[in-house]
Amino acid sequence: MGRYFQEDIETASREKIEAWQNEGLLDVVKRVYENVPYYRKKMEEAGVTPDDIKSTADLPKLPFLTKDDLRDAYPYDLMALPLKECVRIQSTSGTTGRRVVDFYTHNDIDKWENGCARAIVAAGGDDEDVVQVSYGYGLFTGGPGLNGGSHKVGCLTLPMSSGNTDRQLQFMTDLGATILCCTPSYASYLAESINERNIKDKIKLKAGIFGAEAWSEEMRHDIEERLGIKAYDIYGLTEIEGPGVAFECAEQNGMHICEDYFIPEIVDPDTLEPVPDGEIGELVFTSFAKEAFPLIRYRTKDITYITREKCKCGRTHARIHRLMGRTDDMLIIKGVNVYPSQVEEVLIKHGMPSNYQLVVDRVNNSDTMEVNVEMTPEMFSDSVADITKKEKEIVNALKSMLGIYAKVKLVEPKSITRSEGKAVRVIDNRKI
Amino acid sequence: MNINQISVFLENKPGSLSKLTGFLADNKIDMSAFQIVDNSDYGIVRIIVDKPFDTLTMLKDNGWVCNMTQVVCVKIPDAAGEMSKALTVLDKERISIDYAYTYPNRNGDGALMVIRVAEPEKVAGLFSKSGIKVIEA
Ligand SMILES: [Zn+2]
Repeated sequence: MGRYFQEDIETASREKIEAWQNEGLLDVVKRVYENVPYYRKKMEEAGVTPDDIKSTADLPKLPFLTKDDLRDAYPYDLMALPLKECVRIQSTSGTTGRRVVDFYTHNDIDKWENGCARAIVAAGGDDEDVVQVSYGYGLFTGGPGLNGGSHKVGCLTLPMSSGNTDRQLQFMTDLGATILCCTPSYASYLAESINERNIKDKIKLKAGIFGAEAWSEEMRHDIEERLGIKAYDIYGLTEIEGPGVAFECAEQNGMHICEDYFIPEIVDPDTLEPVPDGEIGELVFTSFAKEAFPLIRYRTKDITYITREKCKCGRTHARIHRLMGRTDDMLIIKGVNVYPSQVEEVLIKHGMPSNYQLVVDRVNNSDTMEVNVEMTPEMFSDSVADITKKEKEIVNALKSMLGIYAKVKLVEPKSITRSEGKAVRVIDNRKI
Repeated sequence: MNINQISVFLENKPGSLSKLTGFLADNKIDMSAFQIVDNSDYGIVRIIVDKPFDTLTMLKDNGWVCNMTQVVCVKIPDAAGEMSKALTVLDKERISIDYAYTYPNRNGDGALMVIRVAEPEKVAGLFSKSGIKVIEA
């Protein structure tokens, strides 16, 4: 199979990708304007018609779509095709409000499964592999998406769904599963169970494709070590299609977005203005290739940044950095958007524990931020000058990451308050 | 031939110092020297104790951030110009001192000076050659 599932597409020139996106955008805007009253109304309110959209540069003219829109439009109001053209429905769990549904035509499912197949090949999979899909099946997109992708690659597919760990481990060992697809927390749990049962030598796994929840670089290393595999991140959301919207390659340096189906944007969640590549903001998708349920400028609430530089793996599709949190986590300090995960990234880079606390306050009408970090044996020295030097390095790195000064305060180990084992990350003392 | 000094990280907050001294006392650790250096947020407590290796393990096991460094310890007789005499030895060789502190000699005989340098073995040798008594662990 080689290194790519669809080499021509995955390594296409940027010009070609942009041409697909320009063409796709014009097409989708026309389709929704003509066929979806909900969209037409939104566009009319924004004073924009399909004639105003000539290329992706005109994207900012189009109104955003949020989860609230999807809930308002439940179940049929955002469909761009008659129901009889659709063959599948998937849905979110609806735990945080009304359900959100997504409809698929045959072609939509085909493209979705292509995304998952690309992810499996990028993780080193081919038709010799045995793929254990331990994501939930059913309305949840995880199981069906990876299941379809695995078929496309030609792997032997174990449709395990989630839960029943004994059965999972029995199939994993008896059938020699080589690629595991599940949530990172379930992978972690399986690793623990393998260790408890002392069956590590019977495990043939070489790779894992883990997504559907946020996880850290630390957790990746932990899973990789305990399962003896390489762990790949995968991104997707039901509203857009499911897993496979973006996936990691062997470089493990960002997830490639399937740009032949989606146009990504990063916007400032506060001003909603697009930000330049490399700058952190909210991820926004336009799913122009979707037939049944295309979304235009859908705000994911996920925080990340994007790069369009060519990847060492040869893929040319843009990459998003591992998710850095949700827009709900954002703090505005001195008018600057700050995400706790940015602080975490700087600390980890400097060999500090990811256990930290941000204390935000307002002194003389000006915001202040203090980062409390627990002292480590590695950073400690008998000389104040040495510690001060390292402290300054962190302050400077924070300044260049956040754009504002944050005081670093070293505190004693285990002194950062934890509630139910989870650290309380932000204390905002500002009274506004 | 040098002395093992233990340094402990303490946050500047009420009770943190007495928690450390209480811990040392409870574990019957005999302390001969004690010094605190600090800035506004934290302090480093440097101590010289009778059983440095055991003490270090005990402190680490109980969650303190600490380390051990070799320092040179010399005897400074109770007479004018004695400290200067010792320091002149280092000046001559252009050896820079990271930090130094003194504490009373238990025998009531002058003072002891702890000196932190990059090469403690070499410095101890220089002192001995110049007739300055180096205290050994
Ligand atoms: Zn790549």
